[in-house]
Amino acid sequence: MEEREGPDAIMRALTFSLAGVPLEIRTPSRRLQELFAGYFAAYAPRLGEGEKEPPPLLDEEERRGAVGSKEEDSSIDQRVRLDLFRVDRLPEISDLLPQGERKIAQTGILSLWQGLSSTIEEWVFLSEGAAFRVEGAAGRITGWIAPAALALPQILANTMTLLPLLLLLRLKGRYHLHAAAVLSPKGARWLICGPPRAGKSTLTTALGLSGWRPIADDGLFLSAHRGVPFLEAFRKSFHLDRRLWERWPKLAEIRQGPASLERILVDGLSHFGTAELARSGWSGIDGILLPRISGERQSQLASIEPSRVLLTLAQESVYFPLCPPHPQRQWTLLTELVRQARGYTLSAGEDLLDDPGRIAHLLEA
Amino acid sequence: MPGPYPSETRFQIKEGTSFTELVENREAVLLDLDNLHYYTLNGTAIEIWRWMRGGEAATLGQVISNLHGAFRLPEADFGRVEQEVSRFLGELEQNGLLRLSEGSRPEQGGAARGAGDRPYVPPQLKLASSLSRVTLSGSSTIATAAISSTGG
Repeated sequence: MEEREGPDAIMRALTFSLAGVPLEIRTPSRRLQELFAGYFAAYAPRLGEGEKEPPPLLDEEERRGAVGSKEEDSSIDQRVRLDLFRVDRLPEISDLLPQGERKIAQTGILSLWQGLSSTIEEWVFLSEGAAFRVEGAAGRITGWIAPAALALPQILANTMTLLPLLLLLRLKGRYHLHAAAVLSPKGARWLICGPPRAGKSTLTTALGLSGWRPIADDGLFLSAHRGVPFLEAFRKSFHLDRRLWERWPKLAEIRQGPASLERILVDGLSHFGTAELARSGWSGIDGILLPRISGERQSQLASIEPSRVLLTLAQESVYFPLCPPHPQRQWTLLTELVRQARGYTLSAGEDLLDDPGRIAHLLEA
Repeated sequence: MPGPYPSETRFQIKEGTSFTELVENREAVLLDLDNLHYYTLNGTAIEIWRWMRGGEAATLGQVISNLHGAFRLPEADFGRVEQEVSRFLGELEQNGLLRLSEGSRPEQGGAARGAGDRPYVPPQLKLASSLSRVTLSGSSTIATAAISSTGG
């Protein structure tokens, strides 16, 4: 029997720090508490009592009073709060953005809407299973979760909730980069950057099986630290294609977590002994690899112009055009990263699946 | 395409562009911060942009003069180089990265640094891409596929 939460349900809060930003996830739902405690397990969230549930929908005047206006952005604190509610029916977008909205992005059935209020920066993410409102100045996200989204817990955490969170972190100067990070045995720091299904997780794991140290398989946070680019791993489960288990016998040693579509979640950082390493951020990158699955027999590694590397990094930076002056700040950090590193494309062939050590040989050569 | 320009035509590069040399004297990128259009510049284009930004050249004539000094070009090449530079400036203007400035009296340009052993190549501006589109990258594409497949 599903637990239900009534209006008097007790809000409980998961608190931890993500990329140096204090984060509080509050929900009366035990199921959501458990989901996010698991999703953010590497950050060791503490579960404590939260306040009684606040009204999730305020009118414009109340919200302005509660969260401040755009002009007060400089005075807001760094804290981010995420309030989640289970509902049977999602609110209408006109309730969430009463002053009007415009759609600014769409992928499949997930859409991103920007509010037209002149005083409050706010966005709404809508899908068939969940709705999230992001209030920039308040540092607050409110999420309404319907049964359809609860049926896909990994996607609810890793996409529906993560995307609004990344937008709010952007306003705090933490820019998400869709890239993996791996240290070579000699200590060279490599990024592997590319769109979904480019081979980031596969290559990261192949390198991990070859004595390299994976720090992240999918996401990093880029920020400025004392004026230089600073990278931090987004510490979460690695998402590995289930077919790899048929090709790489060494993977049998990795304890499998739940499956999500064709992917199997594994605790890659624990398996490769890099959980502690991944806790620290770092500045400086030695190499940037842009992979793509070629379907050919042999893999090919080729050096490329830094401008192409930079373009890929910018394209794999979610929300790059949003929230000026952040595009300019992010651009400056990305250009600094690219200037430090050598860039390569990898046309990943079947030989990598035959021998996971092949990629390490190619990069070390 | 704007141009060709008289040699005394004065130009002003656009404020609100981010110029970064990724490989010294060989490859640079320009980001127009208004529309997030992303351009690459080759070595000669880098020199010209730097001169115009630093006030070492404000007219076509000064750019040509600086190029001849920097690259030690033979006099026979003057006409061809002027055409190439005029075309390049026209591309900058067409893309909103440069505008004709008021007044026709040219100012004195500065002395350009030598280009060392680097050969002159025609200046080139390439529009690489626009970064103005909001992408929801990451696992979102997987998620939406999953939701669709479960019928919501």
